[in-house]
Amino acid sequence: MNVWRIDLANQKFSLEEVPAHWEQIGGRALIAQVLLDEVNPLCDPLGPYNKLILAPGLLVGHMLSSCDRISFGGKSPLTGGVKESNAGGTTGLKLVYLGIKTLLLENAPQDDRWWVIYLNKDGAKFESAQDIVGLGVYATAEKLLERYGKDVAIALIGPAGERLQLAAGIQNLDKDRVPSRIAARGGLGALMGSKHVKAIVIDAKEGVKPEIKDLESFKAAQKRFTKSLMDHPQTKIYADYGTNAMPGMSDGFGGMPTRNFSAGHFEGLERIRGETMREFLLQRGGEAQTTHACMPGCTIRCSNVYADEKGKAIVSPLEYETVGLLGPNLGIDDLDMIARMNYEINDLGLDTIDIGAALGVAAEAGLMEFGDAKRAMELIQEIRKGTVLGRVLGNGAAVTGRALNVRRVPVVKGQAMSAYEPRAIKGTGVTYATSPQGADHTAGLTIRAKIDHLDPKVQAEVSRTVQINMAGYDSLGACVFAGNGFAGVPETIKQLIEARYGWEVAENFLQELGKKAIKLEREFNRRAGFTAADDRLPEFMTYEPLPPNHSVFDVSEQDLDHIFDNL
Amino acid sequence: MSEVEVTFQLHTILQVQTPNGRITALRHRMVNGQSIEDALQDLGIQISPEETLIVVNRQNVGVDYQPKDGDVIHLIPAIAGG
Ligand code: SF4
Repeated sequence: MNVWRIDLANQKFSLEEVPAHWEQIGGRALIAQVLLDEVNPLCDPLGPYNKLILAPGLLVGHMLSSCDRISFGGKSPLTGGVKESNAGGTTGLKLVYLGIKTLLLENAPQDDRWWVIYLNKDGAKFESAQDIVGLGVYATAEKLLERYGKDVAIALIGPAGERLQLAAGIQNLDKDRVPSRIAARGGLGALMGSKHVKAIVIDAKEGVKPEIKDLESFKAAQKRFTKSLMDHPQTKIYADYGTNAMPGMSDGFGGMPTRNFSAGHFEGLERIRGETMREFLLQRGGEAQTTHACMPGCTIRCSNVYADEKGKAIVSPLEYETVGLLGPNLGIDDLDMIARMNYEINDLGLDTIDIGAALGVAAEAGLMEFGDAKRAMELIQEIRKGTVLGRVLGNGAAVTGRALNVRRVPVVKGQAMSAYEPRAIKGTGVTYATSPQGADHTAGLTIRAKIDHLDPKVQAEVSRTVQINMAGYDSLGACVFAGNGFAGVPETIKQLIEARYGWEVAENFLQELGKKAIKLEREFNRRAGFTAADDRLPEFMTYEPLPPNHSVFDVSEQDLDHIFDNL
Repeated sequence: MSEVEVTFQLHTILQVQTPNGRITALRHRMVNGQSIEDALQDLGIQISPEETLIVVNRQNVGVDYQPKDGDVIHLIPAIAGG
């Protein structure tokens, strides 16, 4: 495998050997290492010295169930710190087929031209994107598929990324070529926009599957992992309800963010929960699908296609975090409207979590009534039109809070929280506070733990454990839910890695990888100027009691500051 | 022997589809002092305690919890997040 470099200043492509200390890491850990090695932590995230990094995880390339995720990274335009955001779809798989260990987009364009970076076995070509600049995500994907054929993978940005909006993400095609798998968090779409790259097209028709050193051993481990995953009770739940199985559980603990994080129970819960959604989809038929795989080979299939009353697809997938932030967080209990907003936000190329949170803040500022879905949609259209208000909202919740002088702003390190209230699920609050990534549910949720979620004393340890595991999975390219399979047969991680690469790795390779990733990330953030003050939840959460538990976030500062001691 | 009345709130795969619609909750009268485990046995509901969160008053409890009159008991097949 090689390092592929794309120089936007000179439209040049070069290929290098992988430095030895990048070899045994991938995905999230590799991104942190590249950032430390090559990016000035003090640089302007949208300037020439930042790099957009694509790094498939170590297990990507074999259609191992739910293990072909692609990590994107760079210095975050949203948080100003380290950023890794990953997505499913086909981008990771095809990059590996071209032998790409990591792809780096470097330097700044010298003029106004926009590019499609076309990758195939011969290298990279710069092709004009002038005809697709300004188009939404869905139309862009359609045009590119017409131009390059149906077998390519594509990573692309929407108008929000082109306009350098801080909540812009990078979309990827799913296995049905819908550009819906978004590396949403941290503004990496803006970073791609700053390089004037509208899309990266990966043509792996003549690529090759990566070599496996010990095929028999790999297959044996794969079989055990897949069986463990298929037998896991959670796999069926995700297949039937998708991630929107969550509302009942979050609300059950009083942890469903409601009306801009002012309550933890939503009275309209029944109308938005996964059980209701499933009923809708089964009744509606047509293009509706209750279960769907985002990448080839995924046996969990947590994705779905949400369709209207006539069975016509509105959006795919409709996920819990989006339902939470555009639903209860805005006081909205209409799934059809939530799905339509989701489509619009996707088409703009934005993160539904940060935009949902920004709309909640806007409602608090009096720009909409909570519960008014029509008005929420109008505000999203302001983003499309590029009005001053739209430009503010498209930068996410933190900027919106500042611009509109709202103090209840649910962000950490400038990034919006997802649909778990940290005053009710305090371990997740610890994750939000201390993850080098900013508030991010994928960094380590604790809601599954059978603990007293309100007891401040027991949270840090639980959060630390899941944060390390998640950083490990993000470095392997494994979907969070693949973790359910690995949890039953943890030794298969070592077996798969050793069989694939011929290395010898530690029993606890997953945790080693996770610890390494977090250590490197914290070092990058330290050099970027982050201090303990950045590892805190918004202050209002420490004194404003959250109904119905009437709890505040009271995990000690000591616990937050020492969570990653002895990594 | 005094009795208590409780409601079991069923989540995701524990909800049962019947010709009359989805059953999302069950009312149950039980002897005061009996545990959730006893009640589940009476109702014929099988759960794996390891893989199910039992939540009363927004708190995790065990199968040995003895419900009080009016308790709403959430039976949530565990998932790790969305
Ligand atoms: S479980 Fe869901 S998100 Fe994960 S790989 Fe499968 S479809 Fe994609």
